[in-house]
Amino acid sequence: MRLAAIILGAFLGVGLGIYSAYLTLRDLAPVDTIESGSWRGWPRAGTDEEDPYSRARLARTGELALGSSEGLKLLARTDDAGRDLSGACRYEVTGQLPAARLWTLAVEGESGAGLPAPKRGVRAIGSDQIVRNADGSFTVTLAPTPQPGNWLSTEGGRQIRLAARLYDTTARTVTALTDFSVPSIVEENCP
Amino acid sequence: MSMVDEFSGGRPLFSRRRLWGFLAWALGVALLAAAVHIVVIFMVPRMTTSDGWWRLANASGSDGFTLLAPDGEGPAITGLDPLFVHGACRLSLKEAPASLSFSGPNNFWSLALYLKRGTVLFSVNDRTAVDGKLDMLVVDPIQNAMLKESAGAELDQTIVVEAPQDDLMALVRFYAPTPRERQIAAEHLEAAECAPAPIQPAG
Repeated sequence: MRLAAIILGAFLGVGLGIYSAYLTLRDLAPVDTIESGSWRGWPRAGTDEEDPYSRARLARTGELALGSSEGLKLLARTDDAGRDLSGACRYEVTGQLPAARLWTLAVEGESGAGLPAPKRGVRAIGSDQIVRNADGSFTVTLAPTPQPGNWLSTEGGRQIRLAARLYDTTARTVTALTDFSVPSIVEENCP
Repeated sequence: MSMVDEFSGGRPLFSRRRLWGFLAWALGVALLAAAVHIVVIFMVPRMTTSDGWWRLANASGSDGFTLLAPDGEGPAITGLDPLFVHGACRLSLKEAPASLSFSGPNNFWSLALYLKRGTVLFSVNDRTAVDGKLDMLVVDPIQNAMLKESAGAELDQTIVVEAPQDDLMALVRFYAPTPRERQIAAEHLEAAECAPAPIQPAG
């Protein structure tokens, strides 16, 4: 009786341990992040001070972090209302990104894998190609069908995420004095 | 007398002793689960051979930079920027230091040296490099000491990076948003050098 309880407990403990580790690694590690709006960044990814959860997650997904002289990647998986980004919907991404010499905005699959090339339009746009508003901010529309202005195609993606990569940026060291503005993501239309 | 004892009569099913026993068991399970959880989290990066570093190593050679296929075409490295042209080279410092040199196109470019498990040892971009050109020598600590002794070396323009391990990956990123720029970047990558560079003995 006692032996059975110990054996059951051992299996249960190991199982729970593995399952909880799997659950935390399946998702983007919410550890040691900088967050603003629905955007998240991991400024210590790829450095010696990286937290073990982020390190394990990167090891699983196979991503390589940008170096400190290279830049910082920010990810958004939800709109500002907290709903998952869907490839079937239309979103307006409006605002500014933190100061960087160059940035790119790209639509990715939910797990970070690239989506197949769209029939029309592009999946990614760089800060030098983007058409800006009069006040220097930008508006990018995410939609599966062609849109006027800056448009990124979400065609063929079920659940998507938006990656903003800032190159040669000071945003890795966020302090109270640095400006960490991120664009808002607002759902416009969802069939 | 607790409720439980009254309900179950003379020999209760949930006596106080049994309850304590169960709590001790549950605590043991929770502690074991926590220990396993921590071990798994720390073991994943050490055990994997499919992390970014290994994917990069498997996709590239050790002589010159290998042009990496863009995402969705061929064996892709996850998470690379689709507007960039990427080249990778595996550096082995066992025999000799590794020399990296190229001149980037006029756009933004950057280079990172990755240690195993994906830690960035060193990174540089076109602004921090001299005249938009990269000239780099990666050495291990012993080679670094030899390098300092050898007087013949002309290292004024060379970035010397000391690496704590002998096996590294270099990943170069050229910003190339248009097909024309992609072609130019690919040409720059083809002309880029990444090769062992034995230290010339002093004298």
